[in-house]
Amino acid sequence: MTSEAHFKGLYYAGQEKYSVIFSVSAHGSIESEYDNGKALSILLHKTTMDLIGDPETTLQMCWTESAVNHSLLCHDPALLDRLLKTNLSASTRDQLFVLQKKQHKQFKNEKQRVPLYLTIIATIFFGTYIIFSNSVPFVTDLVPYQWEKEIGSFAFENYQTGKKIVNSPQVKEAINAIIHRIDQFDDAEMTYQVVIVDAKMINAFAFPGGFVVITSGLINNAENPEEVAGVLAHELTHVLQRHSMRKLVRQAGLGVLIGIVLGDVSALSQLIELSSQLDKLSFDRSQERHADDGAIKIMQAAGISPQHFVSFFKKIKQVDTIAGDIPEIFRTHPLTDDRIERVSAASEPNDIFKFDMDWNKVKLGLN
Amino acid sequence: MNFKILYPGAFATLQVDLDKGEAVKAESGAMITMSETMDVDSKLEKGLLGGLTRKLLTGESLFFQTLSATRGSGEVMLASAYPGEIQVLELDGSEEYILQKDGFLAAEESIEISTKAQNLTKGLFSGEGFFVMRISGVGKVAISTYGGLHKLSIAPGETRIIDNSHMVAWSANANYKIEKASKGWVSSFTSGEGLVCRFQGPGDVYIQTRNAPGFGSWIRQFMGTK
Repeated sequence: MTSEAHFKGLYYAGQEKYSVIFSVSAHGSIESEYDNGKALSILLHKTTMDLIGDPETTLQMCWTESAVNHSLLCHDPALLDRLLKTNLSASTRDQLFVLQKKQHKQFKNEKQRVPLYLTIIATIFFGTYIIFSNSVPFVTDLVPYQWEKEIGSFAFENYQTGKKIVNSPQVKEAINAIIHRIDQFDDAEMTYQVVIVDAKMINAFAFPGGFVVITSGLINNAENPEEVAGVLAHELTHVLQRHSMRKLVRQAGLGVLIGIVLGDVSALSQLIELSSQLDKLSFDRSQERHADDGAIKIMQAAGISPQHFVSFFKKIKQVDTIAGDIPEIFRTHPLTDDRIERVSAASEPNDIFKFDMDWNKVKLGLN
Repeated sequence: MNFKILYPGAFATLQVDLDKGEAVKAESGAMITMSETMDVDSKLEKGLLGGLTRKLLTGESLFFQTLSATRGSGEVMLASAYPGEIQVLELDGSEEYILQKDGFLAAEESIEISTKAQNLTKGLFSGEGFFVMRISGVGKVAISTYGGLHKLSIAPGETRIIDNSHMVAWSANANYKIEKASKGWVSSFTSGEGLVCRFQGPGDVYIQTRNAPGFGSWIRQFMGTK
């Protein structure tokens, strides 16, 4: 840097502001011409220096003249280098060193601020997400059974609106008999309600609280009542293990989650509002595995061979390949080969139970 | 390039006259009408990362639009979504400005716009968020406000207290601190002012005479519940 170095700055005389180009002499005198010919000349050691702005990197030199505050600002870091090369007293030089060190630090901090904030935001975001997803099962367990029943009953009623219901006594009796058999061996004190929807699609599901929906398409495609029992045992395990409630709570978000913990009744109304989506929520792989295991356990206890569940799986898979369309039931319950293998490997019950009904006659009741 | 303010007051509109080959960048969605000689192009200021940073951090849109007079001289009219004044700032390179997120309307191509992180206290309490826009370079910048626009020139050594939701643009040199409006925490909030910004001169601060959150809460009382 030569003694001729020029710097761009802002000069304030009270509220008047001028853009200036100034030079620094070897003895620390700052000289400038501004506003068409006016002269500015000030000795550095007569000014008070500090760093201002956000970040504090702009050098401010202040002085008072005729009771008016004057200030010269420059954000060029080269100015401090230049000033340190001038002939100044030791105390002024010390002060300049301190300012330069502070300026360097501020520039460095400024550069680090954006990545730092981004890291903090990302950490909070992922932290909240992880805490949220891990707390869903625990919080779902806090939902009172009464709430679950209200939510399920609302969704159940809602689902039936505009749908054709099968009212044939022989079909209803047969399905109730299957449900009753499961109910005896499910290790739970839940009472089930069932409705048969007249629809070609193969589907069955259960809403929270034990409200079961089964389609005539599923009944028609089942070889025997034991196959239906397998599907229903699987669906009811989802309810008993509160899988659909978990999905619902997760869908509802953090606010409802906190509401449940605090026992806030408005959380219930929000869950009810969301419950219309329940029949479309799909389960994840581990939930399917647990529901399969639950179904096997119930079937074994009830004296029904888990192989009936497998045969239904296989039949649906065949329908699936022929029609080229995924049956409704597997849209929400993805069927994989390892699921079939797991259930196939299940042991047979000690005493085999046979439903006392003419299945073909039951099917005739659907028409 | 010429910036002209039409209909000054509540519904101020900016008219930019461009010679052939000139271009102006504007907030996306701000264009009202333009000459047939002009081309619109959306540009990610500072690349994709810069655009994303601005979108995520300042709430500004991902793209700025660039309006270029490619086929001959032309004019374009621009306005922000809300009623208020427009002011044109002339930057000569000696001073940089910080803008609150809705403040930017248009600028000459030579103006650089970047995202700046505020410190923690300002980020949490200024109402501007952690990130604001920093404009530098040489050229004209048009800023838009909600309500009237008032310029405060703060002299060296002078301090000025400004409600944080009224700040639009301020020179980067003017340092400000967030503090409570009165001595006690309770009276600060019961006075309805809450937190304010204490600006230390020298520097210019452009303030808006109305604030959108204030208007929002005022109008909410007349709206029926769902």
